[in-house]
Amino acid sequence: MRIKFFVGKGGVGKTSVAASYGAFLSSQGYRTLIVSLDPAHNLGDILNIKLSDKVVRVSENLYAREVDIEREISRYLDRIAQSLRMTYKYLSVLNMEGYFKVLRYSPGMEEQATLEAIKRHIFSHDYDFVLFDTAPTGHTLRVLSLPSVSLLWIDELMKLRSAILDRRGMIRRVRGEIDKGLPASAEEDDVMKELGKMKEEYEALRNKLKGEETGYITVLNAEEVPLLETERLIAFLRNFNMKVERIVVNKYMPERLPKQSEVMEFIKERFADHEIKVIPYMDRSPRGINALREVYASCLR
Amino acid sequence: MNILSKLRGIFKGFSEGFKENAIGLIELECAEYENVFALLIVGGLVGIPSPPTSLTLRLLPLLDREIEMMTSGTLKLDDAFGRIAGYFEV
Repeated sequence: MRIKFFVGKGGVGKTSVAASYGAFLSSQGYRTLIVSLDPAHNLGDILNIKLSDKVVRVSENLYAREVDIEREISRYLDRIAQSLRMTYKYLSVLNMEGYFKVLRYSPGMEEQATLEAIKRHIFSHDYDFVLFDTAPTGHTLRVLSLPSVSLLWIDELMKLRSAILDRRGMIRRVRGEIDKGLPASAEEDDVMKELGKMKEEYEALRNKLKGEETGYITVLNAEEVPLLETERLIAFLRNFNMKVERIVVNKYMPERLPKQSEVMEFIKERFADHEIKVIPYMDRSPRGINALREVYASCLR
Repeated sequence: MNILSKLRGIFKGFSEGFKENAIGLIELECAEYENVFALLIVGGLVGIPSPPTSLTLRLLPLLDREIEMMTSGTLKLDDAFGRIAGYFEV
């Protein structure tokens, strides 16, 4: 299965480019899924079909989903709340367990829920291609860096936990026992086991996000601000060993905006080691499978 | 024979004393590590940068002991030097 992320500044046309890829790949017989991760969805508008949080069949071999982040957060929190409720059972006596609901407003919860949505699709083998139409750059970068950042924390916490368990082991060896039931080795310690489990999960995710089968397509307009943002985006992706597959310059109209040709020259020079594709500005935004397939065939092939 | 066993007893007493001292220090060190571990996980409560929320939420139910140690440690912070000095018999 191949995975493609369409990334870039808000409003540059990531959804149209992702939808064009989807329309083309499905027409070539590849079972393709497009997942919109942008909370301001317009994938359905572009595909000319009503989409929802569930995967919908758009046409032969083409499927799409607009992720409902609120629902994704609820699903994620339900799993966490279940374990918290088990630990703090007594709160149900006081009818206080409902206060866990406030967790949905914790910082980073939206990014985690987005990552959960990505996880669900990248580890399934139901499609030949999964295309992610992402939210604007800032949010996407936080989501993509989450596995690596989490792994840094997990490694440090594991080191510290090992130090604790080592000392407990020493005390047990000398005293014969320590506090009742207190774990003194990694095999006995639930915290260490949970850290190990999380490490495995995040490593699998990080490896998938930078694996050979995954590519990042950056979309921008030939304007200075999107260009500067794209430079930072590409530097970030490189830093995390994520492969930039190609750069798509969308809505290019140098006849009407001569400044764009200057920026285009700079794009070519700055990203000389990347494949660059150009989609000209269209008076009417391409909508529907046929129009989108046409965009791919004429500009992105 | 009698003298030898007495001497053995005396040396054993010394050895037990040293061992007890060393273990006391390791216990102190271990308690402080547990305190730091809890502080890193729930540090967000007191403004210390904490790990991504997903890690905190998954570890929280397993950390009742560490959190208890952290809160009791906080209550003794007024006399932290006294506590350390006590361990080193200063």
